Amino acid sequence: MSCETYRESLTDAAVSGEFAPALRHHLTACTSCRSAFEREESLLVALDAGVRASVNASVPASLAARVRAEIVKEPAPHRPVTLPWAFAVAALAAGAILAAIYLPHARNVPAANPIATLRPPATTSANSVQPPRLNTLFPGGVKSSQHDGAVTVVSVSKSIPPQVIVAPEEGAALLRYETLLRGIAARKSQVLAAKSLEVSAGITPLEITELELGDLKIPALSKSESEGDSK
Amino acid sequence: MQESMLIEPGSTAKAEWTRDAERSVLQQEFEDRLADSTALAYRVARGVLRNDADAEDVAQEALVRAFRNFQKLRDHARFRAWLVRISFRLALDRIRSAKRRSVREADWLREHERSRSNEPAAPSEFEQHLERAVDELPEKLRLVLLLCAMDGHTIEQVAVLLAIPVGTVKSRLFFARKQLAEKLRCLVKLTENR
Repeated sequence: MSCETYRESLTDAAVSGEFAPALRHHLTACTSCRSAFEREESLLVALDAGVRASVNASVPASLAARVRAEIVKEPAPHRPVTLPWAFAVAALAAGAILAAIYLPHARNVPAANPIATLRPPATTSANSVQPPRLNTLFPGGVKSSQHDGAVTVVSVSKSIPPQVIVAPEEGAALLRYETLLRGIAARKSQVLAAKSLEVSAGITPLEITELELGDLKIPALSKSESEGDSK
Repeated sequence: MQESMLIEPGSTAKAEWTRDAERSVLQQEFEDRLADSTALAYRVARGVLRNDADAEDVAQEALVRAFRNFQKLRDHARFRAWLVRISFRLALDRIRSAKRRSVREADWLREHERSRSNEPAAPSEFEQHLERAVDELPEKLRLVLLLCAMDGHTIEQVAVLLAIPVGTVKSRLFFARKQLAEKLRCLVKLTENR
């Protein structure tokens, strides 16, 4: 086999340090290839030395002190809020608010008139425990209490989430919303009542007289007329 | 502003105290790692930039960035690998931005830095070619070559550092050295013929 066939594997062997048996045999026999291999090896030695020299420079003693000084200047790190955790908190808060607003509607009042759900319960039984202060916004047996300026809304009914904590401004906003809805409902009922009165005054009721039905008389056919027709 | 019931009175001071405590713990943990990581950051930068002053600046920037984001690092055992990547990336960025400057300005700066840091006056022709050849290597090959050339880094340690298999490190090192040898072989032949 000629030396040219070993040229590529010669370089590979010099780089990796692994020899195929055929190459090893050829190198022992061929002086030209052996010298080429030695050149490759010396080149790689110089190359490795050059890379090592550029990498293994002595580290300046001032570097660590400079870094420490920079770190001290850095503002306090904030614990990063991970996305799943933030999402879970937001979902829980949204769920609690939605449940507090919509669950009483679904439980106590027919769906045809949602405004009626905001009415306070008409009567309470004698045996039931009277809550300290009834929140009229939550008619399904919901009580609210106030501590340190915050309104805590606690549901008595099992179907409603056990406890919802509402900030004072949110509580006030909900109460305003309730008043607004009550006003709209009252105005609607007034308008409807006025319209029904107008209708009854302006149109006279339609009178339908009964139809009179007379007896139906059918004369009998004569015999001669019936024979002439058949001819 | 009123606070809801979920926030206790005086909790702001408590939160500040907790943050300060967290910061001091974090800083202590970071400084413990600083002792053996400063050299790593510097050497990676030095391998890319081949300039002491630039390497020092880059290493400092890499370490400060690492501190800023230290809390985000989930596995603190991966700190060294993380720092290698930051330092390598910053060094490459600096080289790219330096290339954009005019040749004149860059030459003047290099001479100025060398005179300041008492480096050898000029690298040999072989060193210059080697620097150019290393610069032309693909980034993956280059990083493996630099890390394997660092004192005290075995192939297995480099594999752990880069979170790649030992076989991958070996093959990358092989191709990096082969490419360098092929580029520098012509130069050696020319020198021999002179």
